[in-house]
Amino acid sequence: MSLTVTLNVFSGRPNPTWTVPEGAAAELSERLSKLTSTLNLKPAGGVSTLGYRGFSVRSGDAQSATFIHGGAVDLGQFSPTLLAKDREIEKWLLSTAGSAVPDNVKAHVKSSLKAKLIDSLQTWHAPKATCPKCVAVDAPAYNPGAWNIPAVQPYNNCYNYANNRITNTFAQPGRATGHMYTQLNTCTGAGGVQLGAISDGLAACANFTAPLTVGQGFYVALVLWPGTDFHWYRQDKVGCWSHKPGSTPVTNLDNAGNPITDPRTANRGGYTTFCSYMITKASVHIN
Amino acid sequence: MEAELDVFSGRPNPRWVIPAPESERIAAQLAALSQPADPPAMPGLGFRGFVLRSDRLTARLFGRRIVLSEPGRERVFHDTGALHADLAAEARRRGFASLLAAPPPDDRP
Repeated sequence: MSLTVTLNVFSGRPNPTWTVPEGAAAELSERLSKLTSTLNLKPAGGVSTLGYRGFSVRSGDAQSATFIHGGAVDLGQFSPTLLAKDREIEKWLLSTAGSAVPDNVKAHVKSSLKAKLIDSLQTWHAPKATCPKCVAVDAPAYNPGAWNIPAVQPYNNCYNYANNRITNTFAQPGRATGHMYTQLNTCTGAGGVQLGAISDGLAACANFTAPLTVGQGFYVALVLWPGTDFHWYRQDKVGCWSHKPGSTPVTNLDNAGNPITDPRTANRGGYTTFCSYMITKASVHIN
Repeated sequence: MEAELDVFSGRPNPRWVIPAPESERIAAQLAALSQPADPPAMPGLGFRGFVLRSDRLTARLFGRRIVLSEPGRERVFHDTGALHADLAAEARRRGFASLLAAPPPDDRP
């Protein structure tokens, strides 16, 4: 997928805009996935500033843009801001400009990129919590940056995230294996979501305390909004749990804004039915 | 123009098409928004408002705010509630009444 990049720098003239070819979106995603620090602020302005004001990046025909300025990567109103301390994202974007940006303007941007990060940026700290010990060797790292990007976030849901599988199909339990759920009233009644997940290869378990060695997978949990919807959580390597509510960003906080030490006791809003802890692993097939 | 009731986590959200001239009326309302606002609090599980999509922009209505996303920029405006009410009424007509929740009170300055 191509990227359309705009360098926000001019006041009177139209800003330079260029298209970076196929593979660029994947490279940007890979670079963003390596960013682990998040912020509770957005990049400083496209307004009230002359000269270099960052980049706007649009993937394919997506309508929303990603803004990058001062080391801050703004993926949108409902996504945490990522922090690229070395300004590496901006440096890479500038390197893709070619002849679209005059040499003197490139020099101006390079000079701007040497400046220290905006003083007002603060590192976001999650509320304190004692995370339980994670005893699954294969448990994934908590890395929201890999999910909260325009090419991934809208197209992958809680089931994708819990299984750590990006399919871009808004995966549904059982659909990949011909046994998609047909009712949302009970977990294990005929057509239940839990049965669909078992068809995909997940296995129910009583808790998340039994050690799982290499290849044995990691722990997830299924809950229901009775008669209405399902939701999944996963336990990360850090021991606390995280989730992805539909097409919204990945988060490690529950509906009350608290860290999730156990999805059974977390604030789950309308998802009042706790179905089961389950184990997912590499052999699971979802779609 | 497409409307989406943003509420689910696992299932795809309910969506419906808003035909002309209604879509043009809404586009004009969105173009006329003028009162900037602070961004709404990040939503979690459950009702998260409505999303409108057209060729030119995406509008998210939540928490008495409208977030307009266009190529190259994103802006946040106060929402009087009229458009949200219209969308909620249409959602009820389509059988989605149980999925709706009142927008949170506007306690931001």
